[in-house]
Amino acid sequence: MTSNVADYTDKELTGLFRKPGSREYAFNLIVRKYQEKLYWHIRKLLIDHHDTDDTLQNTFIKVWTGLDNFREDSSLYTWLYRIATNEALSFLGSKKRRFFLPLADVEKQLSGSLKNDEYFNGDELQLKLQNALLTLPEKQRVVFNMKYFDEIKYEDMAEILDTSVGALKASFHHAVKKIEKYITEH
Amino acid sequence: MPSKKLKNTLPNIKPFILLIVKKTLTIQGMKEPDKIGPELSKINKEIPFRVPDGYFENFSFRLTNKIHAESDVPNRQKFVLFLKPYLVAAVLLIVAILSGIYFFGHQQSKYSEKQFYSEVSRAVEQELYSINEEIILEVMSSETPDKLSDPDVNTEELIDYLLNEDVNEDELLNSL
Repeated sequence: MTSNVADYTDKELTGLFRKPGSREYAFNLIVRKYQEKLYWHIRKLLIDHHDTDDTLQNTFIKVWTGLDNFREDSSLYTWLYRIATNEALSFLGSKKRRFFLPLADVEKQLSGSLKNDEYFNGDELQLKLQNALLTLPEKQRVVFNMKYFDEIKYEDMAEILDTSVGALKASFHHAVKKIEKYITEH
Repeated sequence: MPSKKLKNTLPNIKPFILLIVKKTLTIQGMKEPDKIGPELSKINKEIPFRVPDGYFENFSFRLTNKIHAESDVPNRQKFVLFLKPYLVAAVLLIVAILSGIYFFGHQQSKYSEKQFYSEVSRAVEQELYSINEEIILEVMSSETPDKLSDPDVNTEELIDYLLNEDVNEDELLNSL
């Protein structure tokens, strides 16, 4: 009998979820398997821990209610990332609408709060990189984070973000150019 | 210095130049998709954020509680929504019954207080008028002598009693 979360394949987990008696158990295994990966994916976009915590919870609530309809055309891993990305982008959008701010100002606000964030433990260069990232358009930032930090394959990213591999490669390249320019100038 | 002719042409060709630059960068990106610049290479690639102690250990527990709480709320809301028309109808019915009781009771008490007394006094009056004087005399002649025949009670005492005591007319009528 498999006991470690990592020993279960995604297919086994979704299969377990569909069995009436093991639904909650399987969901807990999925949460334990993906919570950290999804947390860091969201955190890099939202910066703030508390916003990330809320968004991660909403992501898993969507997973809980939607897993029955998950058709397995894509892998569980890409499906989870897609939900998390959409939730994070919606959160940024709602923040902008709530405070009647242009998106650039939301990013400026996030950049300002980084310095005083008790949960930021990076050095000067890392702070500069985060500030540079906050100047990028949202989707370019998502692509850069997924490629640079998480080293996700372009093919998987294409599935998660519903974009072509070519567009993603170009997007990453543009992001790198802009970041290099920002770091040189600041 | 660019010539005057070039200066005039530049605004027209600017979008095309930008498009060519963008295309070139895209092609370059396609060729070297993972290449990062010299500045980025100097930066520590680790994620520079941390989480509160025990965050991931407790996350699953907090999430499960939230899911249970959220699944309870819609059920309660659905139940309340289902009951809402019935609750409103029940409240309206209770209000109607209570106001009916109040108005009817009020009117009835008014009736009993005013109408009842006036009707009773009218009836008593009619009854008194309907009594023939001869009957009174007959009763007096047949019953009074016995009652008045008490040797301890004489006529004077009786008159004194009637004059000095607060004898109610109703009592007299009842005792007849």
